[in-house]
Amino acid sequence: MHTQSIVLHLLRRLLMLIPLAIAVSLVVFLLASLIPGGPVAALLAGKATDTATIEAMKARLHLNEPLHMQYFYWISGVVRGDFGTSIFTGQPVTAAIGERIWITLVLNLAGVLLCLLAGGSLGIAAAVNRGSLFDRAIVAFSLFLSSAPPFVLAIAGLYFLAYKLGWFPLFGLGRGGPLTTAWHLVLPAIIVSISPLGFITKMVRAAMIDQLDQDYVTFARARGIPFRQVLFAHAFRNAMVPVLTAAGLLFVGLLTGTVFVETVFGIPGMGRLLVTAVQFNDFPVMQGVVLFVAAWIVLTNLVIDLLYTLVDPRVQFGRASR
Amino acid sequence: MQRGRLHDALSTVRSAGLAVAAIAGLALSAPAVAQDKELNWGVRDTPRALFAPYNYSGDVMIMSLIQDQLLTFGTGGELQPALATSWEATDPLTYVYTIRTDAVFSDGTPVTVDDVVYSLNLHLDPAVGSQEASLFGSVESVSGEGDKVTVKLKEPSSLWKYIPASIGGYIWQKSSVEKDTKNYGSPQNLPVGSGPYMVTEYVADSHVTLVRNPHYWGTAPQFDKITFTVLPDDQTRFLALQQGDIDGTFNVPNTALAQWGSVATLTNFPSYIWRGLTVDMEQAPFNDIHVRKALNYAIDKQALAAGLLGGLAVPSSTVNDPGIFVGTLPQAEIDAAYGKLLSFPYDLEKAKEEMAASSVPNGFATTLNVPEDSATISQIAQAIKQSWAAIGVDLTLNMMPGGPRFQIILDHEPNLGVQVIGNVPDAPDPVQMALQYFSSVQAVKNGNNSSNLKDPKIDEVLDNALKATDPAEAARLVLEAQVLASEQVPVVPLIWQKSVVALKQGWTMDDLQAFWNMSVWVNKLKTN
Repeated sequence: MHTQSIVLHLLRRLLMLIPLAIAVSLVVFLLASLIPGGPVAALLAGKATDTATIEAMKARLHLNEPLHMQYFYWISGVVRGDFGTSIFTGQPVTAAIGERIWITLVLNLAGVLLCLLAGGSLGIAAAVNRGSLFDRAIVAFSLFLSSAPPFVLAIAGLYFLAYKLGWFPLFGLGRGGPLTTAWHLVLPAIIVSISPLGFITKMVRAAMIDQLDQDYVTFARARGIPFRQVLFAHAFRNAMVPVLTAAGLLFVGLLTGTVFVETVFGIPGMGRLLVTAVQFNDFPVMQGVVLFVAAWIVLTNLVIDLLYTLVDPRVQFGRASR
Repeated sequence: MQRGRLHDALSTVRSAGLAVAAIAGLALSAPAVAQDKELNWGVRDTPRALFAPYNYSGDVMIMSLIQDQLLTFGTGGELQPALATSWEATDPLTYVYTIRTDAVFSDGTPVTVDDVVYSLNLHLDPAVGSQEASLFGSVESVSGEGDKVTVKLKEPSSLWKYIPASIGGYIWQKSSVEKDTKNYGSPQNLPVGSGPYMVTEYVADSHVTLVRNPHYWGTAPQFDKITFTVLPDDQTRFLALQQGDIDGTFNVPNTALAQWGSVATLTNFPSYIWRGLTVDMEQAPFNDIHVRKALNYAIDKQALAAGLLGGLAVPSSTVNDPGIFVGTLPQAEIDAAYGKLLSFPYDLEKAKEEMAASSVPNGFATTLNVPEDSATISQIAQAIKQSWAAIGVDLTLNMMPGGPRFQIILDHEPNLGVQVIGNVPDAPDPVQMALQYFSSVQAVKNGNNSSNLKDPKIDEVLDNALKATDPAEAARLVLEAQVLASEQVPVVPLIWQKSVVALKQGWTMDDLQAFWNMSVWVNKLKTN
């Protein structure tokens, strides 16, 4: 019954992806069509031209067709698995996303895990020492780091840790295979993990304080169970539900929010792909990335929902939850 | 007996030792295995499709190393043979190019006349939608026979002779382009060329790697491998150069020349980039010549060039950099013509006098659209805003993405006001820029004459320049048109900007001139 409710919940959410994808792509398409000039003016970038050239470019890109036909061409391609071709690079959109998505996923996953590790540790330490100078110092420090703009953190990290100290590579993904690439992503992942640190620290602190005030904790300690065991085996596990929610939000938000880190470190990720697509009105890429992000949001939320059930077996979905 | 065995043992050891020594000696004296000579070059912007019909941008610096052109530019802008060993204008409408027979594409297939004809016709085919089609506006047809390619023009054009050496002159392999035109030049469909290098790797937003084309017909280039690394952030590019991860870059921010100069060798060179403002002469109050003069007098162009751009610019007096005439006309003649241009040295008092004599003596308000992706233009706009405030002109700066801003110019609707322009000619032909900004033919939708300068006399002079077959005659006519235009003050010329290259210390780059990116520019590098 419990398993059945989870499976039904998953199927319902997956099916919702279809109307969501259509709605999101339509909104983005209509908004992008409002930008004066479209991709032609962006591609020409001030170069002298003539009417014949512009009309030929528009014809090749189907930009002289009515809006609904332009959308129809695109959506009919999507149904066949063809997400179109980048107006900017001539790459198939699937290839453009495929080349970058794993980099962004690894970077974000590493960043989120580092953030959860650091924020979780700081949050637990602050909760255990609540009200003390140590508690206030931890919260202040994490908020201070989170207040710094991401590009400032990236440049500072690049200069001090990569250039001055030489602890990390300066830019790019290296050319030595997966391990080299992983090493090149360490510093960018550290930078990515800093911005949400204050938020995670405060969330873990609040959730842990809430759990530590519960009767079962008092009872467990009274029974002589070591505090460390009470803290990690019981209190933290119960505090994980809101932390998982936050982690899911982080993972989704960073998908295209790492553009500053990607730019500073010269990493070909989804953030830069989307920024370039918007800059040059590269409709097919914009649509492709938006669709991907929409699907990613739904899938991430599904994974978080599954993790809820692992962390807290009391969590149920659908009719079973009533 | 023991002595005999000892003797034998010693002999063996001695022989072995001699053998080892001999082998070691051979190993030490053997010539060292040659190391590949590599160039690592930093670029700010990710390359687009490496296929000129779909890419009318600065990526020509990469494409010129992969693709041959029909002709090439010499150091002084003169035309030189390339894939065409010779060329001849048999009449004002007909150009015949003799194609070399020893050129081979990097995949081993020979370059044929068919490939040349196909490549030029790409720009004439509306289905291709080439971004450079306007450069072929005067071409009627392209055909080939034997080892000759014939280009027929609709009308005489002084610009055409340069196009085969420009972005329009790249020669593509017909078979590979036809196989997949839509994705050609992308990371999934690497271009095939007959130039000195071939692409082995193209990772968008990351890098492009070139290695020597083993079949190249020309002099082998000095580098075995070139990697263009995409580094969008100026600080990262600076640190990469300082650390030696890149050997050089053309993308040096104007605002940080001193910083870059402390760690690298900076060399500036002419580029013929013109930056200025067009002023809509059909819109009040800009239709008042006193207003146009006042706007000119109020701007300290010398300070702009020296202060904002760190010596990388000189004040301009018209659209064409005088350097574009060098080689075609004597310097004295060029100087004399430029001396006749109506000039506006910075003079706030004169500016105020002109405003007082104008239809808007109390000043007026207007807007300037500024491309937000250009730090140089943003700085210039800020300076202009302050300058014009002193004469009562309230200028609002409207930061916009480059595409929509350029679309306003292309739409050419009434009341264009003031528009900021940054442009560079495609060839060492002064007719092109003069036509774009002073000819009434361009004062239309999709044209560049945002000043709406419509003068029949200027049109006649420019039309004659375009049809002139003698470059010197064309140049003289353009000089005349520039003087005539300056009398009407259709533009606010600001600067002619130079380009700069930053190289790791000890390296130099000589003979860099405008249109460097249309040549095998890497051969100009002198490494230590």
